[in-house]
Amino acid sequence: MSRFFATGSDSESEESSSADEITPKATGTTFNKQALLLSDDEEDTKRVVRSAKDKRFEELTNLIKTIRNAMKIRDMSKCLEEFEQLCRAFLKSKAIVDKEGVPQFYIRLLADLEDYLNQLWEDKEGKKKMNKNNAKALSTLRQKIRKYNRDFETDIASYKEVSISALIHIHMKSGLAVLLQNCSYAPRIKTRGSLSCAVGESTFKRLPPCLRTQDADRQTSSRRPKKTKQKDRAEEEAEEEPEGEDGEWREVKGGVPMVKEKPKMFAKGTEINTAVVVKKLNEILQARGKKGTDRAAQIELLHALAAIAEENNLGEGIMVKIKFNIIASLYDYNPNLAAFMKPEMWKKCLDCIDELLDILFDNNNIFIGENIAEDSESLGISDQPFRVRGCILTLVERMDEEFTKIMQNTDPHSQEYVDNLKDEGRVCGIIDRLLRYLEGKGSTEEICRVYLRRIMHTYYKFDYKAHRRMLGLQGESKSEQDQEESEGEDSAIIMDRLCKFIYAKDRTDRIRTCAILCHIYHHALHSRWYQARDLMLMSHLQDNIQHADPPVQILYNRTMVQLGICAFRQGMIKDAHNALLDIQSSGRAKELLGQGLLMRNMQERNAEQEKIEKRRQVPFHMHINLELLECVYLVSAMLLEIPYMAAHEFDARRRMISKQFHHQLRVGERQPLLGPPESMREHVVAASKAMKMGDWRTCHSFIINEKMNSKVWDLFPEAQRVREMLVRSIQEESLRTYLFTYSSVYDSISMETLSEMFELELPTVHSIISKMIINEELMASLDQPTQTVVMHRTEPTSLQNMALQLAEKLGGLVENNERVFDLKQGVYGGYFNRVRLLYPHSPIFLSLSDQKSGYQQKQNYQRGGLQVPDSGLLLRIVKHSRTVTGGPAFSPRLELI
Amino acid sequence: VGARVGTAASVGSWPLVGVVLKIIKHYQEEGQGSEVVQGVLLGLVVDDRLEITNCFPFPQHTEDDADFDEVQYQMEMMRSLRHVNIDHLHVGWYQSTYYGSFVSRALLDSQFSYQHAIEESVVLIYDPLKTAQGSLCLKAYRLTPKLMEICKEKDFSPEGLKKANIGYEHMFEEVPIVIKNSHLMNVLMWELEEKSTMADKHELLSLSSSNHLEKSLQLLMDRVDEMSQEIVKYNSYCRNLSKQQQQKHQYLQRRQQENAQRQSRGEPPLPEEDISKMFKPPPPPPRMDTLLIAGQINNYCQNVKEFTSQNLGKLFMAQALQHPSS
Repeated sequence: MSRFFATGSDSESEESSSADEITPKATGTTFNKQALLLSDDEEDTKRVVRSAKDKRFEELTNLIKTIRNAMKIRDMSKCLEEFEQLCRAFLKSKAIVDKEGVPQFYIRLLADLEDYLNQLWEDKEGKKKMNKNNAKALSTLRQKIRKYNRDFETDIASYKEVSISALIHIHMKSGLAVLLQNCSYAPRIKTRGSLSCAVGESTFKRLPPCLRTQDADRQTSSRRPKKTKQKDRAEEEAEEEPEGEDGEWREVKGGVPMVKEKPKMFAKGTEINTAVVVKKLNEILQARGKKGTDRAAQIELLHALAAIAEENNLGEGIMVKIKFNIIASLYDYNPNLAAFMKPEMWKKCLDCIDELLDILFDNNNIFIGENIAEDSESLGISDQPFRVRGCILTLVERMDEEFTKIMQNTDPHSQEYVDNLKDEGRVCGIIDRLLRYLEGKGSTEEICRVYLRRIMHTYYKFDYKAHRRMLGLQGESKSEQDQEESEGEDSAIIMDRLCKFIYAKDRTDRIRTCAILCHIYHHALHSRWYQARDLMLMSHLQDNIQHADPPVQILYNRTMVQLGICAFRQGMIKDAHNALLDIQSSGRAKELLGQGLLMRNMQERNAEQEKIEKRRQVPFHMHINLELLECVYLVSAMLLEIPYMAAHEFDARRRMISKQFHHQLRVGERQPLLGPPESMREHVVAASKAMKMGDWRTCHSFIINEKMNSKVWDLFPEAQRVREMLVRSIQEESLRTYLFTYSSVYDSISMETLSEMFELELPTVHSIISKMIINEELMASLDQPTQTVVMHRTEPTSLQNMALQLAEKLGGLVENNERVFDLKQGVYGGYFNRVRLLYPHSPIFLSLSDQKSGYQQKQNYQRGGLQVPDSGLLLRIVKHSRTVTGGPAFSPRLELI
Repeated sequence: VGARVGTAASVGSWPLVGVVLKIIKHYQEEGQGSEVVQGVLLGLVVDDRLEITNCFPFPQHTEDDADFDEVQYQMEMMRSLRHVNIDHLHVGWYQSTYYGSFVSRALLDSQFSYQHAIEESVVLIYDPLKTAQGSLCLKAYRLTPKLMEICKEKDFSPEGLKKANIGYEHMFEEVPIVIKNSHLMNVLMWELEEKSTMADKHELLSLSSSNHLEKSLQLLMDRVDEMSQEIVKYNSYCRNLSKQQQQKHQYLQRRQQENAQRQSRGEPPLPEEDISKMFKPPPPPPRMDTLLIAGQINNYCQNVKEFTSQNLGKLFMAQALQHPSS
């Protein structure tokens, strides 16, 4: 509202205050006025267009206002600055100007400014008084405007003509009229009353003239006497107005080219046919992608066009074409690819696609395709089938991507996310419909693509219906709707069908890879471990996945993780561990699964990369629970590592099965004060400690309890079965650990006792022990009649073990030392050869080579668990170590041996 | 205090019993397991021997009081001792050890600075574990003049050590120790010996060996590992060096050929470039650590050898006792 005054702000405050009272009404009327100009059926469309125009024009008028102010105070540099801005703003609103014509006020400013500058230029006196900056700005501005005005010559000329012809009284009315047309008009009005007239115009209509003048009088009379003259003039005009109104309106319209309010679709009375509509459509589309194009307006225009087309029954061909373009421009609405669509816009798009599909389904005679050239389209109603250029599949794919983007950008813990997620059903519906459509009409590639879309929406969902059906819990207390739903195909069957089609028909590697991965994922999710594993092995994806693009790699990682979890559920601990090892050992599981970015400093990744990475993120509803993942991994590692550690306690070359697990153990050890476990990790660590002692009951209570159930185990679909499997594994592995750790304490141990201790059946204990004996892990034999295990006590003592380790290390040291020597001699094995050459039959060489073979023997001993050589060995090693400690000045002290 | 002996090599040390007892007490009170205790030796030089007549410990200080000034403390201590008219001349320092591990860089550095400042100073190494087994183990060490030279020049590169012709055997020299008592004290001891009943000394005959051996082996292994690493480092250095030499050679040859060609064509030869800048030799790894490790390994080996031979003797003895008939 205040803009109203602002635009005409060369009028003084008195008028403003009087105007203030009436403006609310005034705005109302202006709108009414506009409405009159519009054609009835397109009213709301217009308003949007207008508002866009208004915005641009407001910017212009604001700039003009400042210029005028600057002119008044002769601030040339300010003038220049503003003028440049104005030019830019004008350029920006070019699209609107193209439609509407050059706005009157703009022309006026140009003309005035030029006059004004010329006047200043002539005024030598004044120029001298100007400071340097101003003078400089003046000359620049003058040149600029001269050049600039050349483009508007005709407009300016016509303006000048009008302004001369209607100068004295009328020109301010013209200002009024123009003001009414463009609410944001900055009139060059020298007479002070014009604004009040303009704004109060509607009031004038309603109030009797006398009242009006009184009103003006009352207000103005209280002001400074200086203004009286102006006030008089205002009165004069006010009186004049009622009579002259009509005529003047006409005059203004004639003189000033009307600004087009709104691009009318078609001139009144034009016969609307296909050709015209197509032409118009192309016209609209030309603006697409151009800089100043108002995208929202474009969408509205297209909608309007669609409405017209429908109204005139131009046939489905044209409708399809327009719809295509509407959807395309909806996608265009966001100029930035990284930004996501607003959910509302996206929903609109969803509707459009739905409608489009409706049309396509209803009319069998429409052919669409990307390869149909623009000029070979046939849109008109004829006997021939419609041919339309466009690809519905691409649009749907884009829609799906936008959906992903929306989900990525919504806070996953908000209600909004849930609301958005509800639309997933619609997306699936559309993809399903498209799938049916393309199955009939599309090419193989297109079918593959749409199948992949379908797969992508299916693979990560657990099919509860199928699961229940499998368990035979069919229909106990289910509502009818559930019943209905369960009629549908199992997702497994769907996946199978779609994937197999892709395997057979697809020619792009990427789609097939994705399909395989999804298929495996789906299998794994539904505990079909062998199928999943076989598919993974057959596809050989593990070998070449590093060549794939990051999204596929993320999918691969997800699949591997799901595979591992599946193996775990099936009790295949080793497989589970192997599958999860890669993901977990990096410590970046979150990033590798595309479930969040790791905090990293900016040096490692700039903003651009971060954006790219963000775009790869998997939406929240598809996430794999990271805690579950870690827990599964750690528990598998525990079940493997603890017996292994117990078995290889003294092994120097003991390797770690799982670094991650060891890390957790170390963290647990470092704790100064050990309280009861809180987190999942602490539980596992505590359980591991218990297991180390062979205490399976404690281990069990740490792994399976209320806390762990709610945190981890209950997340599995078959939680109870998994728990049973876990208990069993814990018992078995604890037994093994116990035997490894304490076998040296026993002379013999009864299997029955063991079976009682670990609550395992006797045959199981028997089989475990037999396996250990066969694998030479346990030096014992079974005594069948008494059902006992008799220990052989052949394990080396810890001192012997140490000596062995030392011997091994010394072997390495000698080798390293030799290498240094070789480097100096230039031959490998030079040392020994040299010795042989120097002392061909010397016993020294023999003893050295004896020792070498001695190491190997020892390794054999260790592996075979045979008796270690006598204590003389130790002395020999000690002696030997003296030989090799010569260090840099390596002088083989052979005499020692 | 008389004149000091010029040649430090012939120094023998004569600590008094009191000093030894003080050191032992110090360890008993403050030393725990592998922690070491250190202190200052005081005494005087008589003829060609060094008499250690007194000592005082360095206080154990934690990292909290970082502003603790050791030098200040020593000076203060010595001043106080002078006031009560006790020998206050600095003649070295002592340190406890854990399974004979004392050959380290820190020891080398501090002994070097001692010997640099006070020529005749020694370091006394006290092994509490061996002592606990029944035989007092106290050894005095000095750096050899050769090592002193090297340390002065701070040249620990392979070439430097090679030139100095130093091996781990020549790093430290052991100084013989004679422990003396005042005659009056000796008399008292004789008297006491008559009166006291003999204390049971079981430790000396203990047959258990594995614990001690295990520990020694463990330490030995650690050193061997370190040694291995050092050697690998040295090895890679050698390889890099030779590779670079080769490259340099090739480059020079190419340059020569090119110059010859240019000469035949009558063009001026290529400008000389600074070859040493283009082929910067890789920094040689310091070898002093290797020497020290070697020395330490040697030390361990001696210990183990000593221990095992003693133990074997004990075992044979025990066997003979068990089967007197055979």
